[in-house]
Amino acid sequence: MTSLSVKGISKSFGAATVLTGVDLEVASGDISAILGPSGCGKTTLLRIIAGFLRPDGGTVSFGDRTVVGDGHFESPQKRHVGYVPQEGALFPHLDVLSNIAFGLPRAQRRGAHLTGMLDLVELPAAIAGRYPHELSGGQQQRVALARALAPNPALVLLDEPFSSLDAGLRESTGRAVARVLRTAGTTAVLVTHDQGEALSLADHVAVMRDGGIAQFATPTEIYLSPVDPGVAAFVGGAAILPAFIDGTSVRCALGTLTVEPQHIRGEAFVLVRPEQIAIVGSKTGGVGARVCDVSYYGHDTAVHLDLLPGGPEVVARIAGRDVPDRGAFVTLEVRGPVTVFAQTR
Amino acid sequence: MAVLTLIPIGFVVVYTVIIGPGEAWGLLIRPRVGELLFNTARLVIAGCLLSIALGLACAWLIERTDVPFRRLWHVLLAAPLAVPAFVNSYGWVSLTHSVEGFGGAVMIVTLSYFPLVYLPVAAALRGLDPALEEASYSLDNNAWQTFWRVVVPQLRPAILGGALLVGLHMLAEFGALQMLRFPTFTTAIYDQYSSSFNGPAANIFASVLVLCCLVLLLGELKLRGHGQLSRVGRGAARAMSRHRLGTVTGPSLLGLAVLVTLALGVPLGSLVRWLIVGSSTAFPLGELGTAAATSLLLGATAAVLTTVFALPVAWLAVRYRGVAGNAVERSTYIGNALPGIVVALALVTVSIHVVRPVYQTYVLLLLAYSIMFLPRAVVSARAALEQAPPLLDDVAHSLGAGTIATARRVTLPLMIPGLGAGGALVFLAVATELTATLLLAPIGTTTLATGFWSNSSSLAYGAAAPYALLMILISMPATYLLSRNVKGSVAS
Repeated sequence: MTSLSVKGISKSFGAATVLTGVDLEVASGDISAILGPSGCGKTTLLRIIAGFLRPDGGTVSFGDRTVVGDGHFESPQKRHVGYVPQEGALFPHLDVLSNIAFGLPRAQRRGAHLTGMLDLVELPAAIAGRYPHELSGGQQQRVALARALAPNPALVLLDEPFSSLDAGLRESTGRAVARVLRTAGTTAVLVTHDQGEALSLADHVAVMRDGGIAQFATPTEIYLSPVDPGVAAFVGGAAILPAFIDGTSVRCALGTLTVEPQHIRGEAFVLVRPEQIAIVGSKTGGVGARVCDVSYYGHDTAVHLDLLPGGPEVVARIAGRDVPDRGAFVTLEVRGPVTVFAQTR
Repeated sequence: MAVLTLIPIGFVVVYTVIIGPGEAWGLLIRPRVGELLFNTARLVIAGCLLSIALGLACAWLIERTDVPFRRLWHVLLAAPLAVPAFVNSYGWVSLTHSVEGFGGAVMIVTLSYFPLVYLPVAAALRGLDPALEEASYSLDNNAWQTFWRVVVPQLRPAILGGALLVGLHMLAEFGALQMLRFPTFTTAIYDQYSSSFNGPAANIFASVLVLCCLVLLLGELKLRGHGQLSRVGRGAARAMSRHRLGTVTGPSLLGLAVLVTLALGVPLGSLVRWLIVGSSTAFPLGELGTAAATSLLLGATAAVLTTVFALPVAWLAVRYRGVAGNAVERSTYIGNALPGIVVALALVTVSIHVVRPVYQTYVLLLLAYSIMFLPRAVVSARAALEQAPPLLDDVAHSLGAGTIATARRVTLPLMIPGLGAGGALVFLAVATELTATLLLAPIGTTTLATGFWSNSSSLAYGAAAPYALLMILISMPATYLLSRNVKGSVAS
């Protein structure tokens, strides 16, 4: 168990600059997610932390031990970092037990603690003798995690570990993996492009954009108080509307809303999440809208609405019952405080 | 290693430059050269066309129709590769001398080499996505139009690749054509070499032969074009539905039976006949044993040596994709296109002038084998290395394994099956190699191939038979491996 400290890491491949001075502090025992669209440099950052790539500048330290920086470079085999890649990458010529034992000294490659590792990742002991091609995707991913955890690493890095699994399996495997990491008390960094995965599994989320970290905070902070409209739109559905702020009230196309006390005044933007928008029948006083499309998911419904008159389109996420018809005229209400952004552009 | 493979081509170029264009011209503008060129060209063209026709027809019958006993036919159609062409022609010539000349030469060489078209085309047919043909039918093309407009274009790389191999084999063929008294450049080089030892005529013929190979290689490259032929979209292709032959089942079976009889039955039958009735049949166990041991030993040593040479080449090509890696890999393929006789001639000349002590040693012979058969080992090593992606190295490093431990515990174990297959292919080629062995083997050395050759060319057909039989026997396991490999690559 160790803390991870990344300072000013930069990296270019030829003319393409991938990382521009990334800073990241992960506390000991913490699970942090690096969230970003594909091509934002998150995998490159992970590979630099693991030691598979050398950065052009900056330092990486585990606790007070610098592994790269100031002319010093520690090879990946000396770093004791667990690494779980996207497809699991189990050694195809070794069975489950031998895969898990791969990183252990020769004397420890047989024994009861290995089946203990299977227990830890919630796999039956019966699969110990199977080969990777005989396992399902979720099982492979768990074995890969057990293999990474077996040598008791200070830090575990997970590179999009669930993206090759189908939707149902992704959720359950993700929760199982997070549970295992918390039980083992291991510091972990999870790279993902799926905001649901990042928000639900991690203690802290770093939103990455254009080779840098846009915001590093807890999932609730990221979702409720994003630093800018870009982060807001990336971590969930968002209506971002031009607004005028006067003290704690905001005037915008969705009516006059309340904000938490803050310092922005005058022309600004307001962020309204889809679940904050409620459809309140057709009573007078609220904001009028016309239903232009309805996506019914069962557990909830996304209602696409054209604000009247001629306003922008917004999405309301409502419960599965009382779904309005397409073309219906409805009245909207915004519930809870909203977030505002100063007009920078 | 890449430099070594360039020795033969370098020799040809340097030699042509040294003797100067005037003298080279004088050597070339002779009626004899015209005759050789005509013979070589018509053999290659007729042989390639016939092989394509046979290979395509058989592949379609086996893969796309409900012809009975498909698995058996598949094995039987691949099997002629286990019978060297010079054994095949021995089978025919010892039966009737009417096969001598152009017609017989084309027939026998085609019967020996058409599986080189059949195997890749069959594999390609198996891998085709039936959805494409269904789409063609839904656009109102009938079966015949669909075959020509959808199926054949997709088979083009397989057909051309196979035909290229057939063409290169025909250019390099020596034993079969010599026995059938059909002179081409390769047989002319050998005659020149054995009568006037390394004369300028042999060397200039070698240059022309290399030029012919180059024409074939470039032609194939040009015809192949740049089209993308990979499947669009994801998901496993469904199994193909088979055409019902109905009333043509009988004639189809008859056709296959005739083909297999001509390609396998005649050579094997006449081999057995000579073993039984030949007046010169003798089983000099000592000589046979020595020859078999020499062939086995040379084959095994060459297999190991070539695989070791192939490893760094494959490593460069797979892990360091780029101009340099590609150049090194491509340069080793030259050996595949160069006839054995040119490689042998080049090594004789270079060793006499530069490293005299290795002349007439096994070192030189093994070197020739390595140059000639390196591409087979590289292809296998490459495929094997692709089984061990760099990601696994990363994972092994993160688990504390250093570079050597990773190679020992991850990369090599994953590569061994593929390396073994490559080694077996080299072994197969060496065990039946005749031309380079005749020129380079130390005096007094007899392999199964040269033993067979010296007996059959002195018309001791019966005495030659046991050598051929042993040769076929020791190549069987490797041939089996080859046909299984082709299947495996389609399944994965």
